[in-house]
This record gives sequence, C-alpha cells and structure tokens, in this order.
Amino acid sequence: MAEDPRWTTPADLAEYAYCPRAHYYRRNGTAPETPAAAAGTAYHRRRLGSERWRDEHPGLPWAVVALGALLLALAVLLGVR
Amino acid sequence: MNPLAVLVLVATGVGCLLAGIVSLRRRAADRRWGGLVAIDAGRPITLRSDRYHLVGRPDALRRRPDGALVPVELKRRSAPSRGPFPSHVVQLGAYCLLIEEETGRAPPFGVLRYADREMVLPWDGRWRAEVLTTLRAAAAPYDGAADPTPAKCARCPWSPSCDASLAGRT
Repeated sequence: MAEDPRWTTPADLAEYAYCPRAHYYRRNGTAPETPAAAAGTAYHRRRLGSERWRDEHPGLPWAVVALGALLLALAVLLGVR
Repeated sequence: MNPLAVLVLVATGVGCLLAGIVSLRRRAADRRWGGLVAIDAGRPITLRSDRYHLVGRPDALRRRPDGALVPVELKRRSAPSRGPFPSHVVQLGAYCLLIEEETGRAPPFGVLRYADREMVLPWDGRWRAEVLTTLRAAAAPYDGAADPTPAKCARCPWSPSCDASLAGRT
C-alpha cells in the first residue's frame, strides 16, 4: 500500500517488530511469494468476504430458519397422514 | 405419503435450521464489537496520518453504540497461549493510532481475531508510546539489527537468502 518509502503501514511496523532484518529486506525488494503467504491471503479473503456477506444479508439466516421449521412441520403433517 | 419423501423433508428441514442458527450465531459474534463500517473485502477504508506518515487499511472497522470506532485485525493462526505476539500488537496499535488521528477520538480498544478466539487490547498511553517508538525505529536508517529465532526464521519468506537466518536449527 505504501509505495512511497516515506510512508509506513501497520503491516510494515508488524514486520519490523517481527525482525528488523525482514523489514529491511521488504523495504528494499519484492517479497518472495510463499505458500504460507498465499494461504494467509486466501484466508483473509474468505473470512472477511463471509463477514461482509453476513452483514449485508441480515435477514437471510432468519429466512433459512423459518424454511427449516416449515419443512419440518410439513414432514410431521405428511408423516401423520 | 412415501416415507422416503418425509425423510428427505426432515433432513432438509434440520439442515436449514442448523445452517440458519450457525449463521445467526456468527453474525452475533461479528456484531459484538459494533456495526460494520468498513471491511477489507469490497468495502475497505484507508486511514492516513500526515503527522506520522502512516497509512493503512484495517481488516475491519466497527462502530460501537457510543460512536467509538474499533479496529479488528484478523489472524489465521490460533491465539498464542502466552499472549499476543508483539508484531500483532504493534500492527493493531498502529490502526488505533490511525483512528485517533483521523477522527480525533481514541478507540477504547482493538481486537485481534485469531482462528480460535479473540483478544481485546485496551488502547492506552503506554501502548501508544510503544507504537510511536516502533514507528521511529522502523523509519530510521537500517543499522544491521536482526532478531532471529528458529521458529521465526522458519516462517520468514526471506529466510533462504538471509545471513542471520536460524531456520532449521533447534
């Protein structure tokens, strides 16, 4: 995010706290893509995406619960006959 | 009525009930820290401080009922048993500082959301001082310092080319 080296990001600070040498490497080169980094990116995308989806569809879980109750009631009705 | 059809209805009904309840519980957990203001998945926000030359996009930003903003930082790993890692703390603190700079109001706390549980860290003067110290140190010319441990180096992408690496040693 901070292409301008005069600017720092919270992730830069985290890396510096992790190891100043790693921070130095990052500032002076491109980070090698590792499986762990790719997995981290995918995890963030998945978790944050579903959090956003839940926020934007607040009524949907209630609708699913209502549908489930309806289906069970129907099953009871049909089963009794 | 065909017993198999009734069974399918029961199974689908139970499945819907469970899925709905799980989703409701997750949503309640999401909203524990307030309403969603921004999230780094389609609805991001960039926070910036000209004074500190600090810029960043929190994983999530939530607003509490009293109007205070709270940053939430997502971590893929399980919560460390001995408390959060310093790197996670300083990152979350940087977001707290950015919120303070952008809004003029300090967040009451920040949240580290690990895979298995959350940690709430109250934003105070001491933590703020730690963030500023790290900010100054990171902005200073590099002095050759390194902080290698076998565990850290094993996770570091620079390890194969780093002369200070302890990866593979016990």
